[in-house]
Order: sequence, then structure tokens, then C-alpha cells
Amino acid sequence: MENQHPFTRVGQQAFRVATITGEIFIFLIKAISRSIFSTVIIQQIIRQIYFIGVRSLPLVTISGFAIGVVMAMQTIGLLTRFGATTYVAVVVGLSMVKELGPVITALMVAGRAGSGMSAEIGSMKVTNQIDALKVLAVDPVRYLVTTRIVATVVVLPILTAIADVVGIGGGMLMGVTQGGIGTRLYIETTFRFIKLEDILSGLSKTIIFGLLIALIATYEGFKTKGGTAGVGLATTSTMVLSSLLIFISDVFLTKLMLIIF
Amino acid sequence: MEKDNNIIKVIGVSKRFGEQEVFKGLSLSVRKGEIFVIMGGSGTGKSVLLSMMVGLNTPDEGKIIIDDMEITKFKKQKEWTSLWLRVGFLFQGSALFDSMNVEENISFPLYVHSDLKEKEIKARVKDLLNMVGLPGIEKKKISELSGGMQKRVALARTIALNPNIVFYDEPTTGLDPITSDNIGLLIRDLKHRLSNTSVVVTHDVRLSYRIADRMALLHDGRVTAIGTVSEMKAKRDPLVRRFLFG
Repeated sequence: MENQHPFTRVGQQAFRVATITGEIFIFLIKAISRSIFSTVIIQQIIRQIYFIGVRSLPLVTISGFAIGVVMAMQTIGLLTRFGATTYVAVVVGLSMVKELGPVITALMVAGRAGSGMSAEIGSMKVTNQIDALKVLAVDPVRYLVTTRIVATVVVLPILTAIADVVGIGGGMLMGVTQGGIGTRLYIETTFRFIKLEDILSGLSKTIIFGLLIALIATYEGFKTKGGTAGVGLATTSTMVLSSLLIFISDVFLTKLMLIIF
Repeated sequence: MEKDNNIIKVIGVSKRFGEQEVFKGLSLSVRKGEIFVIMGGSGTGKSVLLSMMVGLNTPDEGKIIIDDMEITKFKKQKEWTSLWLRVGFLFQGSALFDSMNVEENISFPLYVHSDLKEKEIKARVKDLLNMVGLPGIEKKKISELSGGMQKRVALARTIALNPNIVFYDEPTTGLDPITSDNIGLLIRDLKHRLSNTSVVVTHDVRLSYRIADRMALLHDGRVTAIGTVSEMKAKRDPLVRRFLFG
């Protein structure tokens, strides 16, 4: 192996990436071709919305608030030098709705819910619970994957909207207390400069982020092997791969949103 | 063609995992309504054979016919569903859903596949728990149950839809002799109550003697011996004698 030509190694890696991409794509096609219209499936979607949405809310709120506060702290000094302290509302607001809100929320959900999904499905795989679903004539892809994809895609824009509002609130707290901007002026400035299309472009991205998080997490869970060690590897892999894909897809989605809006 | 009494037919099945050839043209039949025990040493592929009979694994060659359906020809999900609604499978490690409690585990197939109302499902769960000798544990979490109790709850879930055939994969592994005996009694009792066919994979000779109508011994990828308990005990084959009598 050590004596392999570098081109051979690159070729092998490229083949591996292509294989995994193909597998994930087939997995996605299978998952989205399943119907969600059954009581058990709808109940499972609601359960997942609670797990992914409600249980992630404290984490998303705290991180959104912290990001808003830090953004304001970093920019107040600079803007004050130019006599434009009020514009901290614009910097924080636009950054939150267009970029930081969606990306930070997606990363938080990938870290908490994504790795949780992967660990749960991975454990089910190594303890034959997925085979048990099959012999109970329950399609595991429909029951475990489709439901989680639907739940994440529904929940992520809502969580992002909450993170945006809380982040803007954090920025306002700093703007008012450290920058001496009046609360009303801060709110008016925010609303004057943030357009509906800015909000929509940020929230639209989260649909794709949600799809990627749930897809990667469930795919990694389903291909878990090798007992509890395998579950650990699947969880780590989910976190790494979904974070990476959030950043990479953000580049293309940002360009796309700039074209659309 | 004359209809025989065999509900399961395994014909010339071969299976290889990499270099290891697990089955070399294995054939056997299971009669309707009997308890058929498949025995063999570790690594002889007993569990692989069982998983092939329910479609969790596929043979490289050969045919498997279950309840008049040639499952080795199945392509569509619908075909598998029709098989899985007719059979039950008790996994070696129970495979209970640990995110659900006992009641949710047992009622799960009923909610998915039956038209019963919630009240009727709860009553059915109660009946099933009585049948496996564990009344009143509906609300217990799976982690609160012992290995033997988990096996019984898994059995209750397996028979919830009244399957024609129940497959048991090493039902007594990891259990003490008394609990193992109880599981054996339960398998016999359920066969009489539900009038179904049971296929049990085990290396527990004691259990086989207690429950088997017929038994088969696997060795070197084939069925080495097959017969009733008394026929097997009377065999002169040194391999059979070594396996049964130590």
C-alpha cells in the first residue's frame, strides 16, 4: 500500500468519493419516493419534529443570541469611528438572516440531532432492530429515513427564523447598552434595511441544509457495522460530513440566491 | 402436480462469504405444523440459513419456497411484504425497539397492519403478554427487563399478527437452564395454541429434545442427518453421536 503510485491513491480516493456520492443519491431517491400518508408515519414525523425541533431550541437560541452579541461587539467600535454606530443594526441583521442564522443553526442541528439520528439508527442496525422492522413488514427507509428528512426540512427553517430573531435581539442589546442607540431606532433601522428577499434567501438555504443533515445522518446510520465502535464512527462521520457539506453547499446556494433574489 | 405437506422447501442452496463456502447445495423441507429444529456447531451457517428463509439474506444459488411462494424470485417490495405478513422471526438478541416500552413494541405491528381500534390493540397486547407469561408489564422499558423477559416480549411481538410460520434464531442463547426450559415450553405451547409451523435454530441439544418434532444437523455446508428425536438418537454416524451425546 505504501509503495502505491500517488496517482493510484488519488484514483482510489476519487472512486471512493464517487461510490459514496452515488450511494447517498440512491438512498435519497429511495427515501423521497416513499409515501408519508399513514398514521404511524405521521406520528413518527411528529415525534421527530419534537426531537429535532423542540429539543434543539435551547441550543439554537443560545448560539443565535451569542452570535448576535459578538457581531455587535465586533462592529460597534469600528462603526463608531465613522460616526455610523446605528448601522450596527444593519450589519447584525443582514449577517444573521442571510448567512449566520442559517449556517449556525444548521451546524447546531447537525451536531445535536444529526449525530443523534446516526447513533440511534446505527444502534438499531447493529442490534438487528432494522431487520426486525423488515420482518414486521415495515419499510425501514420509509419509517426511519423519510420521516427524519421530512421533520428536519420542516423544522430547520423555523429554528433558523428563531435564531435570526434572537441574534438580532442580542445585537440590539449590545447596540443599546454599548453603542447608545435607542431601542426604537435600532428596530427601525433593522426593518428599513432587511428586505423580505433577504429573509427568504436565508430560509430557503435551510431546506437544503435540512435535507443534507438528515440524509447524511440516516445514511451513516444505515451503513453502520462493527458493533458499538461502528456506531461511534458513524456519529463522527455524520458530524464531519454534514458540516463540510453545509459549508460547501452554502457557497453554491449563496450564489444561487443572489441570482434568484 | 401433487401438493405435498411441506410448507418450507430449501433446494440446492449455495452461499459463499468471500473465501468461505457456507452452503454447498443444501436442501431440506419443513412440514406444515411441525417444530423443526436445525442444529449444528458454531459457524455452520444455521442463522444464515434462517435469515435466508425470511429474505434477510440471499443465496448465491438454489431455490427457497415458503408457503408456496418462491422467495428467491422476489423482486418487488410488495412480494416481500406479503411474505413478512405470514411469518414471524424471533431474533437471537430479541431486537426489541429500545426507544419504545413493552406495550409499544408489541402493538407496533398491530398499529401498522391491522384495522383494530386502540382499545382492541391494548386488549390484544394484554392477551399476548399473558400468553408468554408476563402479565402486567406493558409500561416497562426494555432496559428494565432481563434477557429471558426480553425474549418473551420479542416472542409476543413476533406472534402478534398470527404468523403461519415462526422462525426462532437461538432462542435460549445466554439464558440459564430454567429460563431456557421455560422458553422451550413456550415454543411448544404456542405451536399448539396457534397451530403454526416453527423452525428453531439452536445448538442447545437439551432444548431440541424437548421441542423438536423433527431435527436436522448441519455440517460442512450440507444437512448431515435429519429425523425425529428418536431417529436421530439411533443414528450410527459418529458426527451425529458426537454432537448429540458429547
